[in-house]
Amino acid sequence: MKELEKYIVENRGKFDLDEPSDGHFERFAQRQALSGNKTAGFSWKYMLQAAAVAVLFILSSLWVYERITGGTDEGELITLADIAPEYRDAEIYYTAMINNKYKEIRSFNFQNNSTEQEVLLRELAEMDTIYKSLEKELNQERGNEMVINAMIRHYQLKLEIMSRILEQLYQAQPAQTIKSEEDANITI
Amino acid sequence: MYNISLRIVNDTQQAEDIMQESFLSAFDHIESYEGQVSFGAWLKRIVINRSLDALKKRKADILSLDEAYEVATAVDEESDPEMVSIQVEEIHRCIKLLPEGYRIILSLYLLEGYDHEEIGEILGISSSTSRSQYARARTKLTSLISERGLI
Repeated sequence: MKELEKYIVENRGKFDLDEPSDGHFERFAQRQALSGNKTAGFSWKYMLQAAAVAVLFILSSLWVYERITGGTDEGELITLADIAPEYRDAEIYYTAMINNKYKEIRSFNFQNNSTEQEVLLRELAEMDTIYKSLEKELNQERGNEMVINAMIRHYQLKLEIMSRILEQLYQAQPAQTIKSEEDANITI
Repeated sequence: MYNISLRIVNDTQQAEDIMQESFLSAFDHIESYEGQVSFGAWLKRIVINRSLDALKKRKADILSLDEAYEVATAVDEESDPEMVSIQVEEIHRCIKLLPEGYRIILSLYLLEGYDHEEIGEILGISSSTSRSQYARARTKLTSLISERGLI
C-alpha cells in the first residue's frame, strides 16, 4: 500500500497524461475576446500579473507544468543556446533586448519613488523563475519542442511587457518633468 | 490545470471549459491576488473550486461517499501485496474508474499534494473525514489495480 502511494507521489508529473483537444488555444482566445477588456488605466503590476497568467496558461497545457511547480533538482543546466544555433541566436537577441529594457527601467527617474522601482524590478525578476524552471525541464528532456517554445514565448512576453511598461512610464513623465522644471525655477 | 480539473470532473469538454474560465476569471480578478501563495497555487485553487462547483451543478453529491465505501470495504487494506512496478498509465486508468468522491480525495491528496486539513477546507469536510475517505479510496484503488493483475 505504502509502495503504491510512494510510487504515485514520486511520479506525480507523469500522471498529467491528458491534454485538451486541438484548437483549445483558439477557443481560449475567442473567449478572452468575448469577455472584453476590463483593464482600467495603467498599472504595471496588473500587466505583470496578467502576463504571469498568460505564461501559466501556455504552460498549463504542457505536461511539464506540475513538475515545474513541484520544482526540480538544481545542477548544471543546458540552455536554449546548447540545443541549436537558431535557438542560441534567439536567446542572445532576447537577452540583449531585455537587458536594454532593464537598463532603461533602472535609469528611469521614478521621482523619488524608489520603492516603486524596486517592486517593479522584483516582479520582473519573479517572471524569470518560470523560465528557470523551464530550463531545468529542458535539461531533463533535451530538445523537447514544447518546452523550447514555452521558453521563447516567455522571452517574447517579457520583452513585450517591459516595452509596454516603459512606454507608459514615459507617457506619464512629461507632467512630472514640467513639475520638476517649475521646482527648479524657484529661487530662495 | 486541465489535468487537475479533469481528475475532478472526469469530463474532457467540461475540464477544458473550466480551465479556460479559470484563467479568464483569474485575469479579471487579478487584483484580488494578494501574493500570499504562489501564482500557480492561486490559480490551481481557482481551478479546483470551479471544478467542484461544476460537479455540484451536475447534481453530483461528491460527499456522499458511503455508497462508494460499500464497494470498497470488500478489500482488506492490510493484506495488500507489495507494489512492484506498475505502469503510470494503468494506475491513471484505475484512478478514473474510482467513484467520484474517492477519485477527488485521492487526486487532491496524492496528485495535487494537499494535506488532509487543506482537503477538508476545500471540500467542506473535517480533516478526519478526509483521512478516512482517503484510506478507503486508496484501498479501492489497490483493489482495482489487483483486479487487473497489476500487483
